[in-house]
Amino acid sequence: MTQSMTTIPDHLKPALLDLLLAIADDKLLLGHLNSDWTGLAPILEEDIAFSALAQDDIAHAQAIYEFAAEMMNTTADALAFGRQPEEYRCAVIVESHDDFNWANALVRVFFCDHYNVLRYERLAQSSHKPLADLAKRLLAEQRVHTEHIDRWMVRLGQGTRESHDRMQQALTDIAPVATWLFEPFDGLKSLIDSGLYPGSDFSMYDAWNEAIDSVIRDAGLTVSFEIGEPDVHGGRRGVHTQHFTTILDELCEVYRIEPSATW
Amino acid sequence: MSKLRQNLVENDSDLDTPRVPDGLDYVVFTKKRDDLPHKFAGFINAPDDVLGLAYAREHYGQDEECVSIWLIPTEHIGGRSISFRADSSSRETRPFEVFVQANEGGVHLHQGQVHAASADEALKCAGDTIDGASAGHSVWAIDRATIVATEPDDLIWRHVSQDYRLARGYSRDVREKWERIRAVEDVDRYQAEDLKETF
Repeated sequence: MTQSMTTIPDHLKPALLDLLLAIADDKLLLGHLNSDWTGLAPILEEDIAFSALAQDDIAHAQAIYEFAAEMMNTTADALAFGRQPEEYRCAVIVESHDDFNWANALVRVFFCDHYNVLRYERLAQSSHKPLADLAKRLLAEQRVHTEHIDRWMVRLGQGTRESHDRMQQALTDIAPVATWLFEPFDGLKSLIDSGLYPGSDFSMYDAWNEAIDSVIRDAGLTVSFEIGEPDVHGGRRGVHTQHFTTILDELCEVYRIEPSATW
Repeated sequence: MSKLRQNLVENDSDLDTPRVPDGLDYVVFTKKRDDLPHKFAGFINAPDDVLGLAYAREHYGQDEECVSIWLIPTEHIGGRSISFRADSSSRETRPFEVFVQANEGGVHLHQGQVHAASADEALKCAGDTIDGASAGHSVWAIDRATIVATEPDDLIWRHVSQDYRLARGYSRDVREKWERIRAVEDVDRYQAEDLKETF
């Protein structure tokens, strides 16, 4: 049982930053892309709820950027908008637009939200109390998200022939990139050993699979995953697709024109 | 709005869009604290109870923390209820929740529960036993079984500050920014001229 930490040791800061950026970047991108659905979701109330969930994602990103900014003596805005593409730590699943395909949008949120619950659960046990407290608050809200998305998965999976087929297609299309959420990065082991991010990636993957499977079964759908090669570098180690650069350019457009702008 | 979204060519005219069937209408009551009664919060329209509760949480629950949300299908409100029980010897009573709107324009508050065999009987019972019911501007007696409710231990609140969603202090903040780079009299004069030009 590692002792609790009141401050983060300097030698652990780079690894912790990578972890926090991974979570916050995922959320910033997902919230940004899902905001595009405002006005286009299938029913009015769902439009409002989905937009609210997107705002929640950005709020979570902000909370985590602020924590990281304090640790690194910078600002949340500088972290969110001021880095070069290769400095972002988001996974490939949030790097492309869903082309306004509702099934794709839902499946992506489904995979990401369940993963985020598990990340927060681990952080909630962190040896650094402020970090653990932050994770506990965000975890409660994250569970509301997964409840919402699970309902839609089951509803559409069990719905009509068309809704079932479209959901199945989305699962088949997106499953190959989903496992990149679990890509390891340098320093992960030190975070686990120090108790800052306790737990194991293997059991997290198993737990994720179980959560996904249980909903998929209820929905009458199928999905299968393959773990990628650990030596191939992806988003967690700064390797991103061209789509990402395009989205980032748009997301950071105003900040790049005038970094000190305030609203 | 992303550039992709701005350039999105939407479907053909409204006339060609298939009409989505209307969902069910519900009245939403929220209970802010354990010691406060359920209070009318608004309406929600949803395909069914499960989504109705989810949307009600989102709309009415999370902006104001609360401990309980009740959804009442609007079909159970208004007019005299029709009892299909021809057999009037059945004296089985069931619980009815009573909501009273004290004055026109006020909000319905949950005032208590009565046991009755029908909604009509419940209303009569409420008039006799529940404070304010006989003098109330509007009284609803709703069969407890038809109310869709959140779990008792399910607290509804937001965990992360939602201040960024609010457009607060705009005129004050903008004025402060101007005054930092211009003299107060100049800003006054600018504002006055600005209004003259516009109007």
